[in-house]
Amino acid sequence: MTGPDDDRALTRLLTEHVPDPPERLRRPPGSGLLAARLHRRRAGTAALAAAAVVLVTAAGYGAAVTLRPDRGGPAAPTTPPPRTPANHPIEPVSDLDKHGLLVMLNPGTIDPTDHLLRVGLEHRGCDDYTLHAVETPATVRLFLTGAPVSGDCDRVLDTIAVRLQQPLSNRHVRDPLGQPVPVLHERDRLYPGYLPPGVGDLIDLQPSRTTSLGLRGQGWLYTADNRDLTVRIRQCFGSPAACGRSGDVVARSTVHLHPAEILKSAAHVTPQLELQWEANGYTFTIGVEFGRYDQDEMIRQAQLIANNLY
Amino acid sequence: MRDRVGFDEYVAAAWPRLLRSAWVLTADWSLAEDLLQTALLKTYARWPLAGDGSPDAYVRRVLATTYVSWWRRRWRGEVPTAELPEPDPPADPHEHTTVRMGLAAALAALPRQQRAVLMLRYHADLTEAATAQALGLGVGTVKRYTARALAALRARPDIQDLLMEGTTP
Repeated sequence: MTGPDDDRALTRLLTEHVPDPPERLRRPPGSGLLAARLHRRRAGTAALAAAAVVLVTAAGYGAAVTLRPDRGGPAAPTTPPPRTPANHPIEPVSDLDKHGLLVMLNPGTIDPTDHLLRVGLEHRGCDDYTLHAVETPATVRLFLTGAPVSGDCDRVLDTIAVRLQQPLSNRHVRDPLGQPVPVLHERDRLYPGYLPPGVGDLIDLQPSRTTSLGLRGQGWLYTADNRDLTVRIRQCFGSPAACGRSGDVVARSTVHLHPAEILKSAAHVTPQLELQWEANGYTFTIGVEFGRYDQDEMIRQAQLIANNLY
Repeated sequence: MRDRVGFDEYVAAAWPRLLRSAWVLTADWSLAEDLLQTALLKTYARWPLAGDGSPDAYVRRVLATTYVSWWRRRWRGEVPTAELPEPDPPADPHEHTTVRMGLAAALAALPRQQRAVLMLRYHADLTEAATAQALGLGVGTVKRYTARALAALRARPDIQDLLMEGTTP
């Protein structure tokens, strides 16, 4: 372990001795270039969709289109890298695979303007994945293929996208194992509109249906903190029973006219309160964690955050 | 449409220091630029929240999480280009000093999560707990990665003197 002297030495090394950027990189590309890059990402996705592999499927199924993973990363090279050996089917697993790492499709969102379906992909990092959709009038069945990549496997959280040929409408989305993949309309995904003073560093985690991100059930988790306070905001598909409750009810309130419970968790070392309510098929949970336990203040902050979700 | 007021001004002012943060992760200016642009795109989407408080800390967390989650895979192969880029001229007369070259080589040799821990903990000045939370790790893991990274850095003759300074004999 490191001591204070080590910390000082590392801080000095990683602040004073980090070089200045070369001249050509000392100015930002400007919002125009950033915006162009955002557009290029979208256009690149569309181009890939246009060049998609068409899978001929069994009778009764329509054609499938595919897209490469959308990791929110840099623009893809104009020339796709060679992919050998060829793609092989990947089936999500519900338990640890032989590498001790997961391959799992998680809940997603649909953007109605371009029929782009994005789902979370939690994988072992051993393959370069492609998502395919086979559409029928009643369902959208998702399939994964992967091409091995060199290097060590490691757990990776991705978002992977596929462009549907038809609007999703009321069709159900299922993974290769036939399990339902919850899909949220992008406009229904709520974002915090208020965080306590000083809590401005929001990390938007990938959608998950595992417990590994501290999220029981399926949905989204945001976390934000400063040195004194941690806030976790969960939007989970289903009822509180399905999404999990942690603690005993210490008070009740309402959020946007929906009955809400305030739970005190006994499972955490640091005192924690959760404000939880159900609305429109989702369970929302605002968790606040203070360095010291101040129930009234924690309830006040949780209620403010809840009232300002948008 | 969410309010993006102030984003351009923030990027213009913060770009050089954020680029240095990205360099700590990538040890390569071109990759650092690409990583930072990616992080800023993500920040742009959340700007009303990211801009309220400490946007530097927000962007640095996004840098680290983006880097840890897919950066290595994205850049495992070479990206084809039509023309060979001109090499960057030295940013200053000391660019090629032994220490900086040694630091770049040392960082490049570290596992990516150790680099992310070092950047958040010592370059961005986050606490161990905040670093752990940003990366989805336990505090004990952050301590372990830090210790391993420090041991690896100290094993390099070109920078080990810097890491011995100030230490208790």
